[in-house]
Amino acid sequence: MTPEELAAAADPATLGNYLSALPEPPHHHGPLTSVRHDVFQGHHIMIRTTYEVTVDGAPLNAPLVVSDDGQVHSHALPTYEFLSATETIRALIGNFPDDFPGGVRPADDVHDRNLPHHVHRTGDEGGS
Amino acid sequence: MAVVRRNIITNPAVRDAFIEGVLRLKREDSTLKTTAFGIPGPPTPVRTYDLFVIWHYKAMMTPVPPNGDTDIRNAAHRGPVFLPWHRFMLSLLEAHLQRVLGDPGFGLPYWDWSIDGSLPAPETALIWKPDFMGGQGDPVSDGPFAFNPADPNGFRVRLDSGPNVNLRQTDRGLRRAFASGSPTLPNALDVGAAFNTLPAPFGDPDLATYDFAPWLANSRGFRSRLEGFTGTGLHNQVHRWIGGDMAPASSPNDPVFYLHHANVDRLWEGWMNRHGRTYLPSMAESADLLGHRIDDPLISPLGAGATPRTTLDNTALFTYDVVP
Ligand SMILES: [Cu+2]
Repeated sequence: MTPEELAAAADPATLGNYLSALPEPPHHHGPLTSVRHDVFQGHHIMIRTTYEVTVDGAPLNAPLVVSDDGQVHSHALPTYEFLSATETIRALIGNFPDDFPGGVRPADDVHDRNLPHHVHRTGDEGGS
Repeated sequence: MAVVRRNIITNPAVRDAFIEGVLRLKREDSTLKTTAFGIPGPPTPVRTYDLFVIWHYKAMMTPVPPNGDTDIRNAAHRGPVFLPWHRFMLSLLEAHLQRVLGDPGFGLPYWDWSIDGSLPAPETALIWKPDFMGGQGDPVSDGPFAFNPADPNGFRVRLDSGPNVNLRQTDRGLRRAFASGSPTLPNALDVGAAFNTLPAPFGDPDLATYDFAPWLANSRGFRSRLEGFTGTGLHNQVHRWIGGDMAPASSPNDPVFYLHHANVDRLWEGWMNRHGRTYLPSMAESADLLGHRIDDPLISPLGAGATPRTTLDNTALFTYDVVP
């Protein structure tokens, strides 16, 4: 790749037209199901996990998957790995304030708004 | 002529050019409307800067393999192509910045977060001062990207992705929430450990190899360590520490994204200086890895002209002032 090739591609329409021609991303409808397989003492184990989550009574359709090591991941927060689904939902609420109106939000301490277990550098809550 | 990418902290002229270029791309009408990208709501003009947000989102929503799950592996993350794809994205942004600045010699600056990660209070570091990127908040209220409700042409977040990973229209200020998703930034020891190929327990010899089967987020090797799914966190941890708009799939909304990824790219360059300009997987691997093998096209407007292989030696495009 040369600077000239790159400069020739650096106009808004080239990127815009390319992106508009890409296929529509698959939309998540409802909860995802994770399937884990394991073999132990000659037995085949299969675990299907589907999280059914409501927040304030409203169903949450955020994609949640659980990996073989038990960590929970949501593509809504792609750089996070969570130890539990509870921790995942708390992070979603903290990171998407517009999507979870109401509730009690510590307005003047931006640190407190997000993950309770990961927030504080010091203090008595500790890590997780 | 290759441009030189420099440390933003020690190069105020480059810093100011980066800020000015970002603001120009944020004002520039790409001539395409939101409807062209399947984004719900009324057709709204998309600014050139926001095309990069859409690009990142679309790559992240492209599963690999095609019938797979984006949570497991996608066309830009959670697999080997993570470093090549972001390298190309940065190069195209750099070329756009050169265009709007009228300066073909402009090189994208980088932010060495590991220095700030070694401070007792990284939120007080220079990078967050008003002359640099501004601080945290909802919205960010100081610095060049502060929210000004009275200025429709000021810096605003116009597209973001929500809990259902849907891309949608919005109109608000930038958000940052330091330490919200990680109590600390990675530090110099964390970076050093990623280069330590001594036998265990001192280091990890696998780090001398770029990546390993099964080519998943947390596979052995250097890529997953730098992406942050093994070891202490590195790339992922920086996104989580900054929080706010750096957290979702629309993270290129925060201009700091590019300074962060330029540093990630610089660390990759440092790895290649040690271990050669090598990449895995080869084309001998299954087509299930389409998009991650060395000669597969990246999700990019250059089609077959941009593959992992074409990103391995970009010294004709850019070099770094210091490579670790
Ligand atoms: Cu990314």
